[in-house]
Amino acid sequence: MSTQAQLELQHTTTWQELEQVLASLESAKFWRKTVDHHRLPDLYAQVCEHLALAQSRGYSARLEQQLDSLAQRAYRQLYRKKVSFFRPFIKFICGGFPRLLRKHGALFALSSALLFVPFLAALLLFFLQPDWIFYLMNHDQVVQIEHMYLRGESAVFGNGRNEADNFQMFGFYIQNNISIDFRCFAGGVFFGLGSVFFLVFNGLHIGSIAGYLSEAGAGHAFWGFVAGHSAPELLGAAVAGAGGLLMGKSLLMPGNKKRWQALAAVAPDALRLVGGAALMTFCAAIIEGFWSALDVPMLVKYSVALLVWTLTLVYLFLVGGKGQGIREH
Amino acid sequence: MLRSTVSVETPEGIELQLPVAGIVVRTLAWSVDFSLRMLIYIFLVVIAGSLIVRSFFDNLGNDQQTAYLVGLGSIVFFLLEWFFTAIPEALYGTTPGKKLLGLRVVHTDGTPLSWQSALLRNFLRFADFLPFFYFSAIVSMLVDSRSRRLGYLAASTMVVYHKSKLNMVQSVTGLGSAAPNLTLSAIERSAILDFDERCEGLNQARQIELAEILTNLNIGSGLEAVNTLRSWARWIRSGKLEAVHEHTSAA
Repeated sequence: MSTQAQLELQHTTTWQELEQVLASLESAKFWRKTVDHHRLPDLYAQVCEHLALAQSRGYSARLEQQLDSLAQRAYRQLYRKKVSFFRPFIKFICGGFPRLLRKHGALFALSSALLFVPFLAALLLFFLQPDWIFYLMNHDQVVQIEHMYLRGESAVFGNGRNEADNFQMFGFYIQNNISIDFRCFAGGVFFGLGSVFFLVFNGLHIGSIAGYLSEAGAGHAFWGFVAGHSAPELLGAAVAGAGGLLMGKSLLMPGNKKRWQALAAVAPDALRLVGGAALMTFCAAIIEGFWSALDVPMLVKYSVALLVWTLTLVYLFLVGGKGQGIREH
Repeated sequence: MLRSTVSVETPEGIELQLPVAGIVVRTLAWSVDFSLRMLIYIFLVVIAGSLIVRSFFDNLGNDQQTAYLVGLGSIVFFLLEWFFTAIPEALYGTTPGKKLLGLRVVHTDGTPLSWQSALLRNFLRFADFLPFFYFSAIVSMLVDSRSRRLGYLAASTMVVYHKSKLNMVQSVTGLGSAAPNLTLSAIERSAILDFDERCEGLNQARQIELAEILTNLNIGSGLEAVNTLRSWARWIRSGKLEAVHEHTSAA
């Protein structure tokens, strides 16, 4: 049976060695973590034993804190999750993401409905009653939209953009559209209400502009521009909304867990969904920035749009086989 | 509600005490990060602005450079808005502001932050902000016993004080030791040891004040009380009679 004085006398060197190991591990940079520290588990186990002794025998608080601090830092190093980025990322794109989305297919269907039903309703409504647009937007906004799409007779919106303009718009689409995805997602933490709001709001917004412009004679200018990137952009927003609804569902129906535990349990899936949504929206921004405004015949535009829609749907519904969700390792 | 440490049991069977950071210190850390982000914005805007103005006066003829800058600026803005704190947290477990105040982010089981948790807790910052100026976060922090905002709850994370390097202090040995005049329990023994160790950092008046709380133990008054307690501490630390004490308290 050792006393505090004996424990300190015998093991101070052990503690100092662990301190050195930890110091070098903590100062190691993340991009070259190659320091060899095979002694860490052994030293950690010893310190755990000493800490347990100190706690149970009522050794002084100073010694206990000292050992607790060492143990905490070693614990943090030992249980660090292995960071591998590229392989999981590739696997996610090549099957993990569509599989995960199909696992939460019902929520995806719901969020798509929350986006597309208001979209179609607004499209129809403002096509029949274009004056009602002033209930949604003020005069300046309407003038601005008309100015954007009604310049030429048949030309697609944005014709005559040069490469620099294309890049400027690409940056803007990334910033604006991926932020919309993130908001659709994050709002879900309020029992899903935020996601519902942002999905319906965006559906109404896009639908009202589409309906108004179609009626005002800018149909080709508008549809020719948006058709190409509409699939990944709209479905991406719906995927992000599904992630938010997943969080909302866990809070509304937590089962036999506490609500916040249920939320934490679905959080990894929800985060992967919004990650996939961001990737889809990123693809949409590339198309929107560098293709949608090109001056090509309408037939080509609509053919490409059909192709993109087919590819997107095939990807989401067929790629990745029949498994459920993410396969670990 | 007022407990400020969370104990985490590790697979090795020990309990680590994690000191959880409160609202005030975290708000300070947030202010530092926020100010830093604003400084970066100002810096970038000044640089981009001066480039744009120069190309305007050089009359280079087109707005191409401006368009590229605006596009790039949008992307940088997007990254700073959503990832400015997430990336340093994922890589180092802390942000500049948190590091300045000695804080770090860990999972609620004490393990280091993963990429997923870092991203999630920062994406949900948007929800925490709603409907205005972190209202949801404030409500959540006031309700939760560990003052976590929504992002922390979803990602199972918390902010703790970083245990920095401690100086290894050896106990003072030597000098006279004396047996206590009564049987002490484990808690009492460790209280006396703590007193002895804290004495190094206290002035004499405070030492006496603390020692004299134990008037009913007949340890005298003034410096005498301090010295008696410290001699007991040496006795306890060297382990003399410890077996006997265990024995008597068990009996």
